[in-house]
Amino acid sequence: MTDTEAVIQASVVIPGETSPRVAATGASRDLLRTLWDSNGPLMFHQSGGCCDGSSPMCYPEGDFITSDNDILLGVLDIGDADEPRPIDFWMSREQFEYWSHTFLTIDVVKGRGSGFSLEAPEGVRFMIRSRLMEEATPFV
Amino acid sequence: MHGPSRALIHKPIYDSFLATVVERTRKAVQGNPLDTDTQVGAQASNDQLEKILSYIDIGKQEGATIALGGERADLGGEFAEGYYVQPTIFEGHNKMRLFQEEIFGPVVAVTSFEDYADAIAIANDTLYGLGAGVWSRNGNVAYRAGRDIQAGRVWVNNYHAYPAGAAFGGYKSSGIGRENNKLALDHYQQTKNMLVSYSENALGYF
Repeated sequence: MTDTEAVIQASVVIPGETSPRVAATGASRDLLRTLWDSNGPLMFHQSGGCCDGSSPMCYPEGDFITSDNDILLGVLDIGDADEPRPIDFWMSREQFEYWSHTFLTIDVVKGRGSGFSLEAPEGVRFMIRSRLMEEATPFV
Repeated sequence: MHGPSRALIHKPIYDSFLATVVERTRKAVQGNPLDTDTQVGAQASNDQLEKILSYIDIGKQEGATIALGGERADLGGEFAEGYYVQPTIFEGHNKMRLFQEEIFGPVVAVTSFEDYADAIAIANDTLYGLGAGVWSRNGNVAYRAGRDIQAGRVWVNNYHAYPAGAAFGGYKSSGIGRENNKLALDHYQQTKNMLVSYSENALGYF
């Protein structure tokens, strides 16, 4: 897992915003391409809470049913120019209230593969690395 | 949160109390999880270790200050590659992500409160409400706090007691899934009260 540079920036989808909020590392992109090959289109929902929570959960597109209580933070394209592979990144709105001042980078680390996230059988785990947003005012 | 991720300390005693806590925590024995003298073992997996370190990282970026720890621990020898984290105490404020997430490691985020109302406001300013603890020598304050804190379980002048069969709840985004608890079966039952006389004699009223 040395490929920890952010290589994909998500699109800007929140009305009124101008900078992306989510990125993926090279290692994540490579794993996502593998998962897409075996599962088809994908999505992320950032889980909250304890234990194995607070992890980016990767599902087959539409497998996690989002609602008005969720917010789309961006779309990551892991495909090529001639074959886009867009992946939505979601979070619950109430959690976003507390997370909105942080930029999220999806990384992948060795793990014991717990939970329902699609990478579980691979012995790795998606993980969020965070830094403060440059443009959002923290703690509003 | 059941893991005590946040600690709120009354402002008049904040400095002296925290200094004592830091000194006590510094003496916590870290080592082999199988050694009964060990007080702080290792994390269960590399991904949990990495997640805890990422919380510590964002806490530093958010401006929280470290009163103790704040790094991965290298115990050397046969535990050199172990998933150890130094017991860590952060000081900051409740809007930080550090305070808003249950870190599930030897990390606590500490802040102060002015008075009772401030303490309750901070305690309840969270998405979650699984477990909480109150410490007070004033039983009246302890009881009122236990009522006012939005958590499914409030320990008063103790922490992490788990008697089997104790009612198990959760406020807000906590406690989801508790309908699988034995107590929840009551919700699927009809209530019936049979009023039976075993007397061999006529009731005699009429």
